[in-house]
Amino acid sequence: VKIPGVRPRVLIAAVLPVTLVAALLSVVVVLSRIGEMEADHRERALATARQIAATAEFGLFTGNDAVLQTLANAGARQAGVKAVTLLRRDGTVVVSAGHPAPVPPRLPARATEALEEIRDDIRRVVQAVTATEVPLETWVEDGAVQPRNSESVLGYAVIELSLMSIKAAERRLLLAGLLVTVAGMLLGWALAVRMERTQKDLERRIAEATAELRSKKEEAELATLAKSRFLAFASHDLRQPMHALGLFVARLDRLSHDAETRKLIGNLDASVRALQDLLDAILDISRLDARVETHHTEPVAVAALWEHMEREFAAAAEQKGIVLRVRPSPLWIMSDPRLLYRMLLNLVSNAVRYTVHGGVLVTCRRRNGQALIEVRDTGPGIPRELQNEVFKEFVQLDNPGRERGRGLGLGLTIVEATARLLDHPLTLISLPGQGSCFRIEAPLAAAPNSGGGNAVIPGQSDLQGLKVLVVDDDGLARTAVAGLLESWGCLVFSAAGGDEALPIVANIGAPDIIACDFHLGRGDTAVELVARLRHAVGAPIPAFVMSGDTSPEVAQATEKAGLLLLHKPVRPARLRALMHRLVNPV
Amino acid sequence: VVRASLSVLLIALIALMAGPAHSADMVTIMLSESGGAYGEVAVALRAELPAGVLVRETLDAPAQDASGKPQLLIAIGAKSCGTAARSASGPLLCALIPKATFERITGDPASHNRTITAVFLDQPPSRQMALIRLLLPKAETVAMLVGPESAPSESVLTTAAKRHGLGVAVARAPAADDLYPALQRLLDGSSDALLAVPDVRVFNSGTVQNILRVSIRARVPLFAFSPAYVRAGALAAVYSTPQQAGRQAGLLARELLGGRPLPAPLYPAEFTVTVNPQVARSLGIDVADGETLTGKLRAQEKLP
Repeated sequence: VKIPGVRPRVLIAAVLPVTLVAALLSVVVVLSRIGEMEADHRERALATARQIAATAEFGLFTGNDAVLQTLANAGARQAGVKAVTLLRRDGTVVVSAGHPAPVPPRLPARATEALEEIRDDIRRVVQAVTATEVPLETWVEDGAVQPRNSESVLGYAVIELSLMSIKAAERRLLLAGLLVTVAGMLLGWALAVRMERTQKDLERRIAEATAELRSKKEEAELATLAKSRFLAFASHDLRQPMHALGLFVARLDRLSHDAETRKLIGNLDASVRALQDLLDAILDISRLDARVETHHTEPVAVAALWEHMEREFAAAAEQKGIVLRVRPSPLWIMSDPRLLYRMLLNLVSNAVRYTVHGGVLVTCRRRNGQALIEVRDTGPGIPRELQNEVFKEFVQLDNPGRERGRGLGLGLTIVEATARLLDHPLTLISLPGQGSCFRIEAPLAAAPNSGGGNAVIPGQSDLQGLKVLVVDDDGLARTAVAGLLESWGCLVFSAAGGDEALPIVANIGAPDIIACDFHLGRGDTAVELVARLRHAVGAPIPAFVMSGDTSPEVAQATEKAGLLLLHKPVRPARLRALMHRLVNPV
Repeated sequence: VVRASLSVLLIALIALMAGPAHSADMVTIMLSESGGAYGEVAVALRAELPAGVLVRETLDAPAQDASGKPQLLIAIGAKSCGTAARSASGPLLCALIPKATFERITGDPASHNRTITAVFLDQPPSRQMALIRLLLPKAETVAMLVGPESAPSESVLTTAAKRHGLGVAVARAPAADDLYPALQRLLDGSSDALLAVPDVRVFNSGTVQNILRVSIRARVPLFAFSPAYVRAGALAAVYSTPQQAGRQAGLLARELLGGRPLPAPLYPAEFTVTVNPQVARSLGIDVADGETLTGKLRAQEKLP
């Protein structure tokens, strides 16, 4: 069945049951009603026959044909009665009224039972007319020969009822049943249409709601993006002056001062350092949270990491009077060296900071095909109920006064977020009073053939007389870097961009190192400028990039060009180490 | 059986104690059926028998007594009367039996070696005519519908009617289908009363209603022979109740035991009259109650 606008499944689901029920009900009702009508008709025929037979008794007894005729006529006038005939005991017709059937009726065998037959749409009932019995004393006529039973039969009443009316009623009933069924079907169809409409309405509303949600989500994403962009710009703009400030302080430190000024400069340096740490940490966290931090994994030599670690913390440990032990390991692991190192830095720095007696042990061993890095300390430990808390931002145990010297409370947050980013499971095992153990699991890697370590942070060495070309469109930053480098004894040439740098190179020849800001204005970047300069000189001059822009695009671009990247604000120590490494390659 | 033999022993004992002056008389009562009208007759009958008479009730024909002494046998009802008449010798008294039936039994040669008498159920024709006369003083003609059974009574009835100054119109209805034409002839206007004569071919439970209807329509009252007819619509009936029949049979049996020879069959001496005041009213007939009428009839017959 194809009904426009309704899907067949809906149609079957809605129309079929309703139609079935309607049809079944119709059949049941019609059948029972027809049965009732048949029974009623039969009962009426029998009742009419009994009534006429009772009334005809005296007329038949007296042979009063006129009375019987009147009676028959009256009977035949009743609705549905086709004919009334009265017979004598021997079956001969006394009177008849209406249109009796030509076939003579059969007589019932017993006076007490009516004979009923149906022929040619006519129901015929033959009822014996018997004399009314009056109870008499039997002994009064004792011994007399009793008359035969048949003598009490005076005659017969024959009633013929037409079945036409009942047939017509049956036809009407069937029609009504059919109508009910059709009505049921129509109802089912209406239901199906309604269901369809409801469903479509529902779908439309869902689609609307989904679209609204999507637009909300897009709005939210746009807002996040805007925030990220704001953060990126903010970090860039914050880093520039911080960078310059750091360099200025470093340069100031190198001048000769009286004791009081030197003390002030020391305090200033500490403040700048703290500010830089805080900025670094906050930016790291926001980058991790915004999931803009990208990473690339490569084989990392544990030994190299250890070397840097020892160098970084040896002095601090010695100063605190605790033992820092880094157990040598030949393993290589698959990780992002920069991010992994940052995790270790945070963990070890925490361990050193909180340990008063005993020491810190850093190990890396193989277990179940994985590398297991552990940083153990003999510090105060972390109560079990606080072990989840310590990974939250700015949570510091046992530092209600938030003393500066005790860190920022961001280290473990960074560690945890980084571990998640690198997919290195991080676990903390700790008991109060017995120290803590942070454990990082990382996949093992095969040692590369070249054997050389990466991420080598060089120690200080003499940069005296080194020719350095500093390119930065920000005058303050440029002056700061140039000043610091000059204080280290470098011969510094400054340029605001490519337009100034190229003539300088043309005049002085190839510099020993190029230090270049990434964004140079007018869309020019360090990558392009370094390439141009190298091309102009005709030699692969060592170069590195400094940038306040921490976005992954910048990192990727510099990496692609094979240039090292220092994020602003650049720490003097780091800058120095980098330059040392560039001029003294391993 | 034990109780019956015990009671027989007891009665025998009482008879012995009374003295050996006369030997114990014995009466056997034979019933057509136990209980009903027959039982009532038997009860009334026994009440009239003298003390010391041994009474035996049975439904079957009694065996011949071992002593050989002729015993009195009383048969109640037509069936027992017929059986008794054929089965044994000795005196037989039939009670509760219609005259026509009794005459059929005695007409049978098988019963000729027996001395039989009876107390009829039927009332004497003169009594019936007297009742008609009592209720309808101005009546001239009594109509009678007779069938094959009642035809012999016709002449007796006619004589009795004449004695009471009544003419008789008789119609014969040998078959059921002749009933209405005969009735119509009888009730065409000249008759003042219709007397029902016992004959089942004419008057039976199936015909009574229609005969009554015709008679009432013709305004001719029906005089009948049993109370059921009065209930159905007859004006009056004179009849004997089972108690009355039993009492009369008992009195007769007592006389027979006393040595009286067996008399000829008798009409009932005691009787009852019943009237239907409703029918009387609708026919415009002034009637007294049944008891008064009974008294008047008894007085006419000079009965005590």
